[in-house]
Amino acid sequence: MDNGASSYRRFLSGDNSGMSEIVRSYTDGLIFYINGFVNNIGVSEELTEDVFSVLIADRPRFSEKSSFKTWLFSIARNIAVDYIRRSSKTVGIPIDDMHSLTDGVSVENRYLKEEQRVMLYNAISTLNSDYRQVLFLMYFEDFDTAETARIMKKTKRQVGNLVYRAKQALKNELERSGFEYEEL
Amino acid sequence: MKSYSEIEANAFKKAEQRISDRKRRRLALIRRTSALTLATAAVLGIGIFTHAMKPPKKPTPSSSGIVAETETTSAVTAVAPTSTGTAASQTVATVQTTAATTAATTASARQTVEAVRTTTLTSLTTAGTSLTTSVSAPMTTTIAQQTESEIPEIALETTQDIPEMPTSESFGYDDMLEANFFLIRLSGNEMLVRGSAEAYADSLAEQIGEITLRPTYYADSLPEDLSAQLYNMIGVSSKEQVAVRFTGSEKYIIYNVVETEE
Repeated sequence: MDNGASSYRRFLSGDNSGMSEIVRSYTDGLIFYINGFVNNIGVSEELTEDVFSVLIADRPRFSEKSSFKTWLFSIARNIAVDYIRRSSKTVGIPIDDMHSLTDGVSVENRYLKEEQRVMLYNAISTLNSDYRQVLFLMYFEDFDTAETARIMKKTKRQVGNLVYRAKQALKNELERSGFEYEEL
Repeated sequence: MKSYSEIEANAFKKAEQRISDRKRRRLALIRRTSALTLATAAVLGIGIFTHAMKPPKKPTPSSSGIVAETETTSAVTAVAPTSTGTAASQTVATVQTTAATTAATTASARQTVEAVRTTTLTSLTTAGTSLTTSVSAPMTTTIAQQTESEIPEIALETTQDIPEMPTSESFGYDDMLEANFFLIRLSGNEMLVRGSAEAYADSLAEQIGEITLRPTYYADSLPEDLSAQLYNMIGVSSKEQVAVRFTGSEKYIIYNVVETEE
């Protein structure tokens, strides 16, 4: 399984259904990954659209030195970090626009099928950005250490240390919130 | 919550906007550089003509490295500020122009002056050619006209952040490049500082220019002149980060762009 490379190649050749496949395959994962940075599902949706718009407008060459998924999440990380740099600390939302905001719950239902994953995700949301990133990439998106290091622009050793500390922090958070688990 | 179709449709709309914004920026840049090229060519032409018409004078030594009698109109291919910013972490990388000459202080000053004039005229022609080449490169270089005693240099200076000077024994070639501080004026007040990490080739977008740098910090361990290609990174504003690949290096190094303080 090339997790999107062939779809992207088809898109580059002029077949827009390739992009449709990529959107369907990666939207939810990208929203949650980006949400780890911005902590706002509505903004995460917008930035996910930006990720796809970069592929559509710029048509960057995918050299296949990594998996397509790794490459796509690297782009998403760049866009999320860029957004954080550009955005102000406080965001005002006009009350008239409140009805159009995504509440995130239905996105969770679509993506996080198991209750335990939902609770785990909520606990992860309380951690700092790096911990959230590494746990999400490795345990929700099943990236290995090398791919995670590539996306996060860190060494494998740094990722290993980060995972250890993130799991410790997550364990403390879960215990604090009374989460019961048989094995983690 | 948006459906997949809605997200896909919005992505295509945003892509159209990106493309039209890019076309608009490129058109504006072409207009600006065309005007600059014409103005530069005119000034160079006037400078060469004026210099050719002027009778030779007795030369005097010049501490700036420029023969005093020569009215030189210099052009640079890359410009950095001649004054550094106040931030301690910022460094300045310099490039000497091909039009700069060394002051002659010997008894054969007149012969030297004649030789310098010829060299300067040749250098001006060369600088004019390279100037024309560089102004056609989008986005990355700022061309400045300098008067006689003000030859701009982009000098590399160390900062307090550099722990110790590595040697070629302790650092490989790529490590030396990554560890060096280079300051390049891309546009406005923005400059590059030290490389922060390696970029992978598939994270790069289009090439945005070619530059030539002369490092002075690790001068013994690096070539005298370094040419490099600049690339945009996918999904990242070039005002935040660019990727640099020096000729001869396998690596693409991510450089963070910071504001300068004028």
